[in-house]
Amino acid sequence: MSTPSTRSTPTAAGAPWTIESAAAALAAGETTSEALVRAMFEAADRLDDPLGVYLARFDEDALAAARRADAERAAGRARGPLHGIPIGVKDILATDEGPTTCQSLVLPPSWGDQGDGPVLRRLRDAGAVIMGKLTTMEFAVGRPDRSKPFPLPRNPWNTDRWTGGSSSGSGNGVASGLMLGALGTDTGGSIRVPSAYCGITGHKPTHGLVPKSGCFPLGYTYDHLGPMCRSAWDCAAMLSVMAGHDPSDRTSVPSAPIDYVAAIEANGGSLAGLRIGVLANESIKQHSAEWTWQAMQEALGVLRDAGAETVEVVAPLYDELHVATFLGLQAEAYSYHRNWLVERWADYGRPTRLTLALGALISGGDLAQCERVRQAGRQQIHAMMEREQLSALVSPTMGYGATAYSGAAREAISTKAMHCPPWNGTGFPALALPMGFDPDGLPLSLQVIARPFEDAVSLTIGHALQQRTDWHLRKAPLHA
Amino acid sequence: MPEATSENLAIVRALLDAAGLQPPPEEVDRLAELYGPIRRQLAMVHAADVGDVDPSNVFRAGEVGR
Repeated sequence: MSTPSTRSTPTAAGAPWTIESAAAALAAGETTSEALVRAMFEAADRLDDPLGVYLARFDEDALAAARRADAERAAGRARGPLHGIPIGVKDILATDEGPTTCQSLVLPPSWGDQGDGPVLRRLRDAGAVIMGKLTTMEFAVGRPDRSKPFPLPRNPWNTDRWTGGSSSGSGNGVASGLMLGALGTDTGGSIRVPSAYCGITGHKPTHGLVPKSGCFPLGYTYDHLGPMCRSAWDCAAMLSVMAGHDPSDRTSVPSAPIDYVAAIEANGGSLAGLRIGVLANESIKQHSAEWTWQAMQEALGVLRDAGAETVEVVAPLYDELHVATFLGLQAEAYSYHRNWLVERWADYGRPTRLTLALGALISGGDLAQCERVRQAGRQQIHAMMEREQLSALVSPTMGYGATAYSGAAREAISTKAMHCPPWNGTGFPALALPMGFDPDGLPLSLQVIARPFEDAVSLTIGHALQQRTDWHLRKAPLHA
Repeated sequence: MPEATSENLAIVRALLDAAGLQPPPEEVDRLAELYGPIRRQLAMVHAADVGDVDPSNVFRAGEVGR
């Protein structure tokens, strides 16, 4: 394991900026938002071409917002840790600045005219600076597609490797230091997979905690918006702003505001009293590399050093939830796209249209059974956590490091190596955070799952790990 | 459960036709290849012991928002 580290200052041993360190530097007058934004756009001038991060940059608007943030701060009106912080937005979310493409030729340009949804508004109200729109996979589904006129996202740790998706530009944008945080979306793993592959920290909140309005739907009941950053602290800062009911999304749940930063700092990094279940389902072990399992064991040792107790458990209905989530989201996605598929089949990328058309092969009865498995799965897993007195569950996020664009090993590209989908089906919160590197020097990731609406538990465990390791502060070879 | 490619191809053609989708032949072939694994996954879902549990999607007449 790496040696313990404390605060992530950009001047200490060349560590990259985090929201935490940038907020401290801004508050201390050591830098300005305009300087941060300008430096990150200058880095993007150099790195965006090889990495494929942006679909649209909002240089003028962002610099103007940064200057306003600096002026407010100078006048003594700092709004909190996101004040003046550069944030990117996955291009399936509408923004006031302009185009939303969903990285597709099919989406009518007018879809984006709705502008900011509640989460964008909340981030701006907190002082965040919106840098631009980031690459995805078409409609957040399918695979990278060279046949369409959009950038191919590449991994800053090795540009022959994929970033993961579908929040691809959110993953490689944060990992390469072109922004300090990003909005991602997650229907079957689309925050956690690119976070894992790119070596950053991403949080899929509890379903219903963050309103989805203003986001193009993929699987209505599986979609989540969440933060992607370097650290759990940074995710906590973003989630504190993003969370909360909004009447525009009837699945969003009324809840009292939570300061997630205060919550994760409450115990000073101690995990004493927390009991963590290590998922020992055979399918997770079978579809994870030996080195991934080893890295997780070392991370678990760090969590035990922090005071946690760990115990192996087998999650009931795990494999069934895994497939029911994929099948269910395919059926839901097909329901939205069916008419466009009839009229504009060839305008979709091939991987996208084939994935969406699978929804036409699933019957209504099949979908209802997927929904019953989903309900039984979340009941039974929650009951297991109650019975075993578990605050959280852990597994690898992905079984392997980032896959190659060509010649990837079959086991590494299998959907079974994704250990994310069951938590979309259950709606439980799940944090992905770095836990080491594979033999090719690619990041490996730990997933921390908590009970519904106990997002602070996942973030607290991630924060405790990151106070004792520095995996999250390692710089990729392509970095600002 | 149909396994033979020819059977799957016929089923997939019929389902796509009923849905109004007209992919080119090589893409119909690809969907037919994917159909077998999907049926196996659905068999796993239908075999799950879920008792009398309701689907997770719950309809509430009073929720008239978006």
